[in-house]
Amino acid sequence: MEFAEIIAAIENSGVGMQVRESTWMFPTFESLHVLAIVLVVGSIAIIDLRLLGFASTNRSITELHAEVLPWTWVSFVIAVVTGVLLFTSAAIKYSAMLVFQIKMLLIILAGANMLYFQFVTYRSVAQWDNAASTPLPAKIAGGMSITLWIGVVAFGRWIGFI
Amino acid sequence: MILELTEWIAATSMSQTIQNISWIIPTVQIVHILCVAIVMSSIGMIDMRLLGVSGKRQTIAQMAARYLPWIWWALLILACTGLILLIGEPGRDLPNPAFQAKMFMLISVIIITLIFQRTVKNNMHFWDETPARKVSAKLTAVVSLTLWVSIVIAGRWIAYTGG
Repeated sequence: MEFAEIIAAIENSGVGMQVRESTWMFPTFESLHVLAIVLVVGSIAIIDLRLLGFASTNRSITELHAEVLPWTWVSFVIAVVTGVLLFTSAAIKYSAMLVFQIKMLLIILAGANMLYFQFVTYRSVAQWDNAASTPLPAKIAGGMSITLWIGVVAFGRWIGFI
Repeated sequence: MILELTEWIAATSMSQTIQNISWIIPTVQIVHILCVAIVMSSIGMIDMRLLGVSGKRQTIAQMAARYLPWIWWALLILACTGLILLIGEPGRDLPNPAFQAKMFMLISVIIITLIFQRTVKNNMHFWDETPARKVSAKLTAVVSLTLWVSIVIAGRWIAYTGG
């Protein structure tokens, strides 16, 4: 199946039709989506600001990680589920929109940045766990993460204006 | 009265400018949402600590000291960006029941947060001192979280309940 056919199948699916035709579903999923995304971005920012040395510098990084990241993941799952539901209502329109495509790209980049940090940079965390100033790779990861997530919010909101 | 106020704001040159420059409202909304992210995550951390769900390595006072200033600064920016949006589209907001509910809940939760801040400032261990206060800490967290979540939902709903 071609990409365009898959997108059309999503839009013509039962779920897509229901979200499109219901009066309350779209606003409800959208509200939950906003709620979830602000928690994703805000909680990630808490860690990013620690990596950058701007806040929580008196806390150990592993401790802060353990405290904050579970909330990030729960929120992220809700954001994805509600996001998919919103997408099905007009899959053809959204997938063709540049701002939507950029948003997806930024999410992928944020994910790649996080994976690199987690599996490469974070391996030596024991050496800088309590340091107010983290090594450069950790600072770069924090800076990229916060920038990319701000971009996700910005392009996400812009979708509603086109 | 609300109608007259709406018409008066809409006729000001500032409102005209905001309406006529197409990028202002989307850009201001983006800043607005980013500040909502700061507030919701910060209040979430404090309330989860009050509930005893997470962050227990920190005292309530430490949590308050870390996150409350961010909430107040973000709220200040939210008030400014919100005001710009209101001036630009008064008819979308002022007569709108979702907007009115949002403002009512916002004032309530600000008062609750101020009271919380005062008690923890005057006595660092206030919320841990008696079993009754521990319960009231949890209650405060539940009310605060409920109000904040409702504020976000009402905020998004403004787009759907307007005239």
